[in-house]
Amino acid sequence: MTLVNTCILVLFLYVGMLMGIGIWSARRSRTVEDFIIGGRTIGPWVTALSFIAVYYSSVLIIGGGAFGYRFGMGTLWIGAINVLVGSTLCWIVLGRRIREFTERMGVSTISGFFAKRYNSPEAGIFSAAIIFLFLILYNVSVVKGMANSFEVLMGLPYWGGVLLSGFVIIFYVVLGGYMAVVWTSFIQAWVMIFSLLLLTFRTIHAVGGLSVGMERLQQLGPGFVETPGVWGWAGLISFCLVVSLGVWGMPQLLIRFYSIKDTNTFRLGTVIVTVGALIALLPYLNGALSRLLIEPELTGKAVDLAIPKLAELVLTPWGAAVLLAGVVAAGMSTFAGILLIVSSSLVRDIYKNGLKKELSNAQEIKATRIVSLLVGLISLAIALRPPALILVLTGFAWAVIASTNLWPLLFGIYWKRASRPAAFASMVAGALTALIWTWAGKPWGIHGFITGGVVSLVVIVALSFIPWSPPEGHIERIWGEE
Amino acid sequence: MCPFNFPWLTFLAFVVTAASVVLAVVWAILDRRREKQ
Repeated sequence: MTLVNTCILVLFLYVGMLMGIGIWSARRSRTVEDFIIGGRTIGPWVTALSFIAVYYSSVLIIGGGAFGYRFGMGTLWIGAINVLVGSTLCWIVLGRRIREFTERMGVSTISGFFAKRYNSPEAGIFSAAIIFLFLILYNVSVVKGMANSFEVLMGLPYWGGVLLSGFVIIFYVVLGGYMAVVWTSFIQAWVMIFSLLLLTFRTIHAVGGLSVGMERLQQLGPGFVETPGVWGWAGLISFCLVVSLGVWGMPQLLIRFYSIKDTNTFRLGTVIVTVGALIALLPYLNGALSRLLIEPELTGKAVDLAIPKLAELVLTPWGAAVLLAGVVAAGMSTFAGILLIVSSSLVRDIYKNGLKKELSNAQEIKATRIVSLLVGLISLAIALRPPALILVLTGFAWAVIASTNLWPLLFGIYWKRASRPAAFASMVAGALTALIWTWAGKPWGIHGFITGGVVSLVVIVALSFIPWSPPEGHIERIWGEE
Repeated sequence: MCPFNFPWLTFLAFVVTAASVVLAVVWAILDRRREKQ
């Protein structure tokens, strides 16, 4: 057994296991609710760790390491806010309410919630269209990040990484639906946690301990250890907000709250998700320390090589294979979670509810499977040879989706006055602002989610003070106060 | 200087992270108490 053969054997076993989960889940998906939210039967461990795996993609590990390398230890704050705002507060503030409201209302998608809460088919269709278009673009960037990691860590050509990882994911999503997505991402979360811990211990050992490492970084330049350090306050704070508060408007993460077993599981789930989210700090820590080990200095686009180069220096070939598995697992779980959301938004929200088409249970499962297959293949095709425009648009995705969904969701479950015209206007204004702002090249370096989020917040609050008369008893039914 | 030679403002990131874990545990305990009443 040579090392390469061992790696290939491990890869085969891993792929076989993922496909096995897909086949096992297919036999457990009898209704549409099973297929798109796991029939609301998922326990706290699986829900929490699958939240982490879908939240963090390959970009967190490779890109986070690059940020750490460029801007130093101040970037640890991004990880800290990911934990506090993106995970703990997200679960405490949104989790249980979303679970209670959506079950009472009988909805199983994010857009379905908007349509019913605001008695507004137009809000449902608009948000489903935004989710469909921009999550596909976001997924293209997830596949690219994953294939790039294959390339730098294993020497596999870019197209090979795209096809290998893409086909495996499409196989288990199309067959197994939500059950396959949560169980594979549960396993992928453990792989991510283990590989990042391994890299961190080896790196700290290689620089001679954390205290010594910090002292040596301080000598390279105080900017590499201080906050905000080389980056500056504006850049650091706005980035922290984007990747943490933006999560509150991301359907592939919010759907985890729909599918959890019962409201009691939120207690254990919140603790698990917080502890699991701690790995967010590790790429930044390793990236900052890697400046002490990598010769010669990386500049320009090469900073993305910080983590791969570090892995070469401090890990054995076995360890590097484990890290590769972690990076790929991070990308796969995110891609799979999004693929299912995109499909259900097209079939359930746009076709069935928006266009008022009749679909039986079996027809809807079949349609969702076919759309997953097609959307998955289209994403892979775009990722293989991305047109320049598509690449530009992927940078818009996070800002536009979060600006559309965040406030109508938060006010929708906390504020009875939030009204139909206000919610719809807020979505359109938020999406357009984020789009135009990013298109204009992010004036003053401010992220599109910041401006889009502020505009949609002002619009939904201001317009909700205009009297709106929903159907008799509508709000009471939503709040369960009949 | 804080532990491991971290400047205090950077070390605060670790403190905030640890505080998140404490917050999650305290919230879970309070929530359970509230339900029992």
